[in-house]
Amino acid sequence: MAVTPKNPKIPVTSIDDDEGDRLSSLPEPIIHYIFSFLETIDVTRASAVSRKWRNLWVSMPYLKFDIHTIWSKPLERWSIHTVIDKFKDFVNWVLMCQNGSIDIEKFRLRCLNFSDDDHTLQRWLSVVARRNVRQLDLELISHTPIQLPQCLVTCQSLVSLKLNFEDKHCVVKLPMYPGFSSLKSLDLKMIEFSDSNLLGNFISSCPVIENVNVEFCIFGDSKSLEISSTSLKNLIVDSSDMRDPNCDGLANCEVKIACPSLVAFKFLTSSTWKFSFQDLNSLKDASVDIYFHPEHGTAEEYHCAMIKILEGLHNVQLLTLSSGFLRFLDLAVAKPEGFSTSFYNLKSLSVRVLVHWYNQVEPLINLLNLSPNLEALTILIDWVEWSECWEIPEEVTCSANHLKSVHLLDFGGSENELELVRFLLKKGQVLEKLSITWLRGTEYRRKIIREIKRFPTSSSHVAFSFFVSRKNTPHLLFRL
Amino acid sequence: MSSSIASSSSSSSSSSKKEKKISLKTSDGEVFEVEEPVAMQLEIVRSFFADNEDVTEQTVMPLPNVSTAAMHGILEYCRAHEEFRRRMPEAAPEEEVRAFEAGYVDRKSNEELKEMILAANYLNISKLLDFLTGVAAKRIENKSVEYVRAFFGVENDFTPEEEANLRREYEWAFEGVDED
Repeated sequence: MAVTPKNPKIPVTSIDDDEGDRLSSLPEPIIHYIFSFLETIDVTRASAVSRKWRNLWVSMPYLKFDIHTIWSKPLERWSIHTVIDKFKDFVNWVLMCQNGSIDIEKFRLRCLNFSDDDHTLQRWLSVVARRNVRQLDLELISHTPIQLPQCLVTCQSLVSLKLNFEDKHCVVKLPMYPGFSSLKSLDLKMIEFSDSNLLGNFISSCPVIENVNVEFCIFGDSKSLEISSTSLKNLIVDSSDMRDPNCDGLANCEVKIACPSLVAFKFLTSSTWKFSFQDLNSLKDASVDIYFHPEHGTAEEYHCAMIKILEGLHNVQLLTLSSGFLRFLDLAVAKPEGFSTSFYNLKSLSVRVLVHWYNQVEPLINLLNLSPNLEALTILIDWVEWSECWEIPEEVTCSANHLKSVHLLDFGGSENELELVRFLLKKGQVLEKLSITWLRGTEYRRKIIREIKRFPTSSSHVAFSFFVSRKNTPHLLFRL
Repeated sequence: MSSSIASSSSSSSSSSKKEKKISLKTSDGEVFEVEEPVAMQLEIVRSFFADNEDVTEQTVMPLPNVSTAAMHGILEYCRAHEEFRRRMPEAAPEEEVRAFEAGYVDRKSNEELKEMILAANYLNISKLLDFLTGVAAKRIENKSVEYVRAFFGVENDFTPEEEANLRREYEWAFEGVDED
């Protein structure tokens, strides 16, 4: 959506008076920079602005074509076939007329993959590969499998590749032979892999790959997804929200990760819980959001899976966990010998907690006890209609020797939440900051604040901050 | 026009120990006392203080290419980001940042926007420059040639025949632009 100026001060039609040295006429590099954000059609149209701008588009190294936005309301003017033809015509014309000796920094294409026997896409890709494209961003709708052309695989300039099939999963045939010698970033969205080994092999074969993001992909009936790479630094696998209800992403396959350089790792899934981590010694930032489906396994199995995951992540400095974790962590309390991993490096922990049961809060305290150097704790409070009222027993200990900052999000001020705050204030001997972001629509906030302020604190100085609900422009209400 | 964020961050400083301030003087002679972490987001300020050993807390750094109006806009942005950073060092609340940024530029005219782009470029705040140039691009996206000319303040030096020919040659590029 275009941002329209609310209060345009420049007259839109006349610019000729007193403008000898306009303060805000922008220098050329900035104008070029602004144009690098624009669709190619806008850059082409700007050739009619002035003589100087006439050939700007010919050497523009950023090419962006989007069939959905290239013309406003195209389907009111033309039939879909005409729109596709005009679009193809335009891309062909630009690729033909541009200065071929200029390397393409970025080629972004959002379109339909035309019919089966149409090789347009392959042709465009071979042109941009020849012009040493560095970033390739394709957003397609395709009913037939797509094969990456060989010229792209062997393209030595390609640093970043994004493939996204917006609405419908599409089979992509990954190359079986090595290539992508410079590829650092790979983004794959809505892709169906006939065999998950293909993806694993592909990632392993990219010698300098650093970032991999796999979202909403289907791995068929594979038994395992194995990602091992010595160069990989950031990995995101998100199969949490499968838009097609008939498919379940990872489909219970075992995920094996062996990446000694991995620094950040994010995993969201509702369809598997079998993980095995190896060599994650560089890992600093991990985020795991797993939904344990009751049909997929027993509580005992989940408990073992969870322990295995946490053991694999014991080196991290930042850890984010979903509430599914805490549900099964409480089993560890019953069997302390089952879980003895400590998180000595953990500085910042972010957890989602269902506060309506104490058996969600108890594992949280347990986790704090296993993290002796924790400095920052963020708790996202989850809600259900009904709630039991609990108190944390007096004898419960909590080693929060380094805990400086606590932030509670979606705080509604219920008895249970206040009990948790009371406990943390009592145990946090070096606590400096307690922040609360209100749940939308929370009433009696002043009363709740008064109550919190009356709790005894072990730390000599705790600064309280209260923030209005999320999804709004942030706005500080009070500082006490 | 100071936002709630900017004002709250300055009021919060009173509760802690006295914060170090840096004095910046704009082209029209106004001196801004800026909290150190906010001022250090301005790369030109950061390198000035890092490279010059003889500057003291009393040094007033002149910024001859930045107007007072632009400085207000720049500081509003930098203070808000400092507040975000302070509030949630562990995880930046992305949706809040986006909501703030949208509201922040909505109030700016094209002329104000360009002035801020020049200031952000001069002060070398790459994050703000990226953001503002992206906004400028949004404003001229799918707009007529006349609108783009007016936006950049570029004079039309084509003869009427030349322009007519060019428009005929690239006819399809002029189909279906948005209303100005």
